[in-house]
Amino acid sequence: MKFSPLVQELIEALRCLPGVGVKSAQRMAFYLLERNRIGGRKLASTLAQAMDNIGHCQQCRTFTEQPLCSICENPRRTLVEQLCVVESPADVIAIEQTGDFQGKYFVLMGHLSPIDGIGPDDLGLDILATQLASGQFKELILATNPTIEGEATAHYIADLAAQYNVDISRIAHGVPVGGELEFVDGNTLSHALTGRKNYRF
Amino acid sequence: MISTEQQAFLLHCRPYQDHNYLVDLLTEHDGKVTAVAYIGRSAKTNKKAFLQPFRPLTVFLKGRSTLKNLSLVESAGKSLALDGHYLYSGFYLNELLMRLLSEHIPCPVLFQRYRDSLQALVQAQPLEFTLRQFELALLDELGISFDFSPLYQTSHHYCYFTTEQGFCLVSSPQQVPNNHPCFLVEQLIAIAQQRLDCPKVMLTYKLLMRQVINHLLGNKPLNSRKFFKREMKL
Repeated sequence: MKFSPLVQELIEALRCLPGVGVKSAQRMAFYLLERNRIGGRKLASTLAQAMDNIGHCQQCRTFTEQPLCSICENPRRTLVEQLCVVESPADVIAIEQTGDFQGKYFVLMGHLSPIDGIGPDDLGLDILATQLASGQFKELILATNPTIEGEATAHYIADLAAQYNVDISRIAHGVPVGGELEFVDGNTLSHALTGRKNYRF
Repeated sequence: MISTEQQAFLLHCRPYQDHNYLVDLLTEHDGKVTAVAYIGRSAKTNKKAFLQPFRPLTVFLKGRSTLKNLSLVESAGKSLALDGHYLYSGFYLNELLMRLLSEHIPCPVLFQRYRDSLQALVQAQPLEFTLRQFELALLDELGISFDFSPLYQTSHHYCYFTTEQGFCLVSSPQQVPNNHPCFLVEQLIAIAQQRLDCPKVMLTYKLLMRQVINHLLGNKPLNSRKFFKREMKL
């Protein structure tokens, strides 16, 4: 037995979500049709608006429907001298939640990964270069993930930034809060040791 | 095939379903293998730390199909800390292996060469030499070798290389077809004898290898070469 064409199309359409197979798509479709039509309509209209209007911030490349995102537009941040380079918009939120960073961000939307076909041209590094060339920033913080690809990306950007007059720093690697040394993997631990700090009273 | 614990290096990994990674490994006994690695739901898991390139691993592969199951992965040594150009070169080696090597063909010699090459990259030994040695080992594994013998029996000074005919000797550079680099016979003989201390010989070696590898790759170029292009511009 087959579903009617529109139901089938809905199920097929839901499968474009990551991690959603035929069964999950079917469950979602039935749930929306049977129990939550209002939610379904809202999802449809929001999704359509979002797909049409959301683009990248002209300065930091994070997702926004405005020309500039709220962080880049913030008057208190227009003259800051720190620029933090991260891999994804989720990283921006994570750093924002700490409340320790008041500078601006630059979102790469990925990392260099030659085997996946992501090269330097896909990360918007030309926009980053023009921002560095403007001379506003005194410090560039490389906050890419501590993976091999993240390291390669950090190194590549550091190389690019070396010609501009900026201090370049990399976020520290270390033992997580609440963790136990016994269970931390060896690589992290050796990074934590080599990057140790003076103990000041 | 009875699988045992063996040494391996991770070449590439990508997320697969919710809690798995699909990993490509270069193993000591089974050659290149693709396997599914379960990462687990917990954010505490440190398996991801093992699944990084350039880290010596001990792995145990299970399963009868071509897609294996990575049932055990442990660190077999410290992660090889590559830096800058050497890191990009490491990516280059991985991309070459990903693109050119077939799966499930044991290649212990190549594995050993890969390990040695990474060591050489860590110790910042001359880059060109390391890469050429590795490329030679890879071509050897793929069943391609250079026949240098015509070079010894000639009075010509120039030659070019085609993958079908090998070295073709010509009396002047003008006779070389347009899309082929022109080589000097004496430099090729130096390569044959592994006298590689002259930069010009190394350049010839590079062009020769590049021609053969580009032929094998087909029309899809290597991405890791892009890293170096910008370096040249600086």
